[in-house]
Amino acid sequence: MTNSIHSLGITHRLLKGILGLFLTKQLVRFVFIKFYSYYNQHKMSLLGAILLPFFVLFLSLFIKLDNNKKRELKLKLKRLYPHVSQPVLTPSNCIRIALQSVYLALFNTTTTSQQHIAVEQRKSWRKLTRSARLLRLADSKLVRSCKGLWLVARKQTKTKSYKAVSSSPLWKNSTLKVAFFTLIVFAVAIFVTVPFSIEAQAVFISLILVVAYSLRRVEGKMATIVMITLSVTTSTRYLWWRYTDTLNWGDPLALTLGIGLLLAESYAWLVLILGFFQTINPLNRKPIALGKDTANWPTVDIYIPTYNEPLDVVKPTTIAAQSIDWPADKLNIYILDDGKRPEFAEFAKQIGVGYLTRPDNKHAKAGNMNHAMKVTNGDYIAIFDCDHIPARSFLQMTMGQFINDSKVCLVQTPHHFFSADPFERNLKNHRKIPNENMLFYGLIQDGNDMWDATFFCGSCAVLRRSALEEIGGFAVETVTEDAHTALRMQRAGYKTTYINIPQAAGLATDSLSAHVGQRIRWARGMAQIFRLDNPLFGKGLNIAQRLCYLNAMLHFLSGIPRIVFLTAPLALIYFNAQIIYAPFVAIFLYIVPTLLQVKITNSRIQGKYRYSFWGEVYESVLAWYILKPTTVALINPNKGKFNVTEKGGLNKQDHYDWTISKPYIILLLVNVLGMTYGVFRLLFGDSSQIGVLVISMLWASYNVIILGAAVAVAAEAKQVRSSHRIKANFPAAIRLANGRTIKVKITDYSNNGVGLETDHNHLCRVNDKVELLMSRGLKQFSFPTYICNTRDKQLGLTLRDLDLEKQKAFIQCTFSRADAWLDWQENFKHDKPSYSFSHVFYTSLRGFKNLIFHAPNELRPAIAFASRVLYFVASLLPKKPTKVLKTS
Amino acid sequence: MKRIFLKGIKGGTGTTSIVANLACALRKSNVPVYAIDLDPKGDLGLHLGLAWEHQLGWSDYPNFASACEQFHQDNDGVKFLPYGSHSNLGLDFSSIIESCQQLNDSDDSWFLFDCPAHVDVHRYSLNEDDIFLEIINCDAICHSFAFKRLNTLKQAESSWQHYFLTNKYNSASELESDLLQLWQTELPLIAPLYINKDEVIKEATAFRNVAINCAPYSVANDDFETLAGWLVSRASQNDQ
Repeated sequence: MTNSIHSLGITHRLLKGILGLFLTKQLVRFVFIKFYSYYNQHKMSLLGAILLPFFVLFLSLFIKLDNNKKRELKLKLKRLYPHVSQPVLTPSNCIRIALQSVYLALFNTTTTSQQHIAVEQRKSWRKLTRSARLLRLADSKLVRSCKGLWLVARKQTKTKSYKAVSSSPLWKNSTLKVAFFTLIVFAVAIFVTVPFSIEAQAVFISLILVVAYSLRRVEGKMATIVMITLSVTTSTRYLWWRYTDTLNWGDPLALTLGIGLLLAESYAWLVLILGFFQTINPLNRKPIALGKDTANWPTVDIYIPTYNEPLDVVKPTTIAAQSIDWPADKLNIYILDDGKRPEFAEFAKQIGVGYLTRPDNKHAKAGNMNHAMKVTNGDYIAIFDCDHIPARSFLQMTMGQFINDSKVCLVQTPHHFFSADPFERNLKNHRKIPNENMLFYGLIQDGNDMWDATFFCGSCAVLRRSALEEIGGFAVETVTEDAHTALRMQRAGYKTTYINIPQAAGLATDSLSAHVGQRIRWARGMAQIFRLDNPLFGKGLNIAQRLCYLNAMLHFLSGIPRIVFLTAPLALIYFNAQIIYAPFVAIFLYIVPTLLQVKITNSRIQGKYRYSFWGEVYESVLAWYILKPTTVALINPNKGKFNVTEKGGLNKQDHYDWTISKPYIILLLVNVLGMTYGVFRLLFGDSSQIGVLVISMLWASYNVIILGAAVAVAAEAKQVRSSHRIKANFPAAIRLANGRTIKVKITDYSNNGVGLETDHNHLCRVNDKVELLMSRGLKQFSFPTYICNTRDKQLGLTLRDLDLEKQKAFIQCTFSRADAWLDWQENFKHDKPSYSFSHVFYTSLRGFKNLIFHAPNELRPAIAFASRVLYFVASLLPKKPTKVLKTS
Repeated sequence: MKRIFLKGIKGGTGTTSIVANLACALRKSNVPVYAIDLDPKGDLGLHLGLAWEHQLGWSDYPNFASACEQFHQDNDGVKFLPYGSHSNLGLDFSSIIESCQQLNDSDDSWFLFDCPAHVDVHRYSLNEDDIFLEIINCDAICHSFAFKRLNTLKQAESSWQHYFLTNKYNSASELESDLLQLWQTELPLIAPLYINKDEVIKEATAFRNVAINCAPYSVANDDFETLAGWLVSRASQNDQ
């Protein structure tokens, strides 16, 4: 140590001596101080530390560098090069400095302080929102004026001569009617088949769009029918054009892929037309009151089939079934337990309902109910899945249909779910966006009812025993015994009816895989019916019923077409296969307006029950999974068994279901790669292809968005409560331990608790014992409860250790209230496609985020590396100079 | 002029607190309300904020005109006449009831009479527009009394409207909820509403006030408002 210092001392002295020959003493000292500070403090290399003081000295010949100036210079550099990191001389910093210097040299950056930027941003944002608002205003003004126009037109037609014409017997002439319809069909056929030049197509389609746009918000059935006609015309015309003009016969690959796409499109077209037909005039059947004399009311058996569901799920259903308003001697309740569990038998005995088991479990649910039919004898059979809790008014609402018409064999009510289904839970849009079920029970069943083709959905329905006996009981040949049974009864000449008033509510499936499993069963069952008892053929059905059934079956065959749509644009991007062989402008003029027109019409018809673009998301999730079972069932209908849908489970923590999302992730990867390749081709490829390429890439990016939303669904959110909270709004009261009473409003309830809201701030504390007073009719019930949480006006109560009597009373006061489920459809506003699209878009973004967040451990380093690379690249880019405070 | 008589089927059913609260509830629709204490124990005044030192009431006066100066008004504007110290100077309850006709200033005015439990219904001269509420509690004694009353009502021609009103109902008690359900199905004259047992009714007297003023968010408040509404609908049926 001392030796080295000593030797350094020698060199030091030597150098000092040499330098002293050329420089003043002051300068020599300066050089040495600088050298030591560079070498020791700044850890510079020896050579650098030696050379730099001389460089500084050299510079000082031109610039006067006192301390103040130096600081200013440093600040200025810091401001101009804000992202240059501390050891200045690194390769990345060299890039940064070079890029920043170019940027500073080329762009005006003098006035850009942070504040200024913010002001500018705010200004442009305001401009943007203002123009959006203007657009919306113009839109609403236009729509209103269109509405006015239509109304005026309608008013003007009320003149005398109009009346004379409209009431003339001429209109009832059947030949005239036939002629009129032929004329319409002829006109449509012409519009569909006549080949237009591109200009003519542009004029034609824009005319149609203008009519559709102006009609969009006009109320009334007539406007809907006009819009449907226009949609049918444009879509049929599109398909005609596709078949006649757009197949590339010269290229076998493009031809094969193109025909594939064309078939998928034909499928979509068929479903669209059938859907229009099915829902053109929903019936909205109203309940029929029963006679006053209850002695004439028929006897009803209630079946509650169960297999492996826990008793906690079955209990409320049974109790609520007992509480249905019906003469007690005419109402018999049976638990049909295929699980043969002793605790169920004991529970049934305890509360006084029938308990039926059978020696074997043949034919699953259908077999179970067929067995029960042999040992019971009510005139009517009501069926509740063991988790569907009926309201007390269930039979009052439904039975009138049977009394009114002796040919009615089935009254179906909607399946309503009080818990969030996997889509709603994982996407966090419960009660914000109509769920998958809503379209079917809100619209399609009502439409079916119009055509006498209501489907039996296996639960929440009443059937006529004599009709069932006539067809030999519940159908056992397929895994969807419900639809098949209804089909058979319809073939036998019976009518099925639907009442769109939720009279029972149940648990939705609690994981995506269970949900998918359930849909697989339905899809397989429908395909089986299609093969074994095809509703298109055979006797007993009218053409409308056949078409309704056809649409239902087609719905479950959506697997292949959906996957075709999700991959079609890639054919052009990857293989340069012209699957739609037409000029870019023609493609643009046919596809975009037709899609717009169809979307607008569907949004009008289905808007309250399904928001635009969500159908695609639901379908995309299921597509891959129903593809195989439907295909297998179509080939060999007897394969496959009944799988029970699991309900009432818990998700302990957030997790991502990688197995179920594998198909969409692969599709997503293929699409994203395709997009990247597309960008590459745009930059370096053949410029004549750009138009078609851009269209394909737009389509692919739409697919990416839809797939992203599908991926988002697979992130299973945790579900900690075993009993679900149900939103409510009815009055009740609590009596505190000190005897005081407070009026409250029940805001939600579950199996073992209620949430309350008081009118004013309460003074309750957690764990206080309070009595909850709830009324059912004139009778008031009191429940001992504990307070489990409090917020200024809110209270949470838990019910503990209720005896059976009290449990019954609690269910009567809550779940089985006649109005418990009435508000389910009123919660939703009418669809607005643009909002809906942005919602899907954000959901999709969340899907991508989820993918990264839940990535498996093996991939984590790669993701971390990729994000680091991205950060690094971003840090190289030039930045706007920022203001640095003088004091720093 | 609408006359409501309230009487406990036995002592201690909580009649007086119902009279006081009902008076205030009726007063909310801005009609003249008179409450007259016919009960010698004389506690109606206490419910309506009269000081306990106050001795005088109608029973200390020889005639109605002079007794009228004992009409007090509480903060809500209910006019009430206390019983007094029972000097027996010539006025008895039936003459008071009769004389109240003289006060009749409008058709809308309500007269509530707090009747003592020991004086039987038949000793009042009632006309067919009068409503007689007999207050019962959910217990076996009241159950027997109520059916006994039904028998006597059957024997004598009763022209007035007679109802049983359940007070201090506690649905947590099994006996009470069973009895009430039984009455609701089997007792013909049971009123279609009941007053819940509520501590605030008791607590309000400690503030020398009534429950509907002290505890607007309580069930008691609702109960009395329902009772008032029901009585209004009963009385308006009479008018037609």
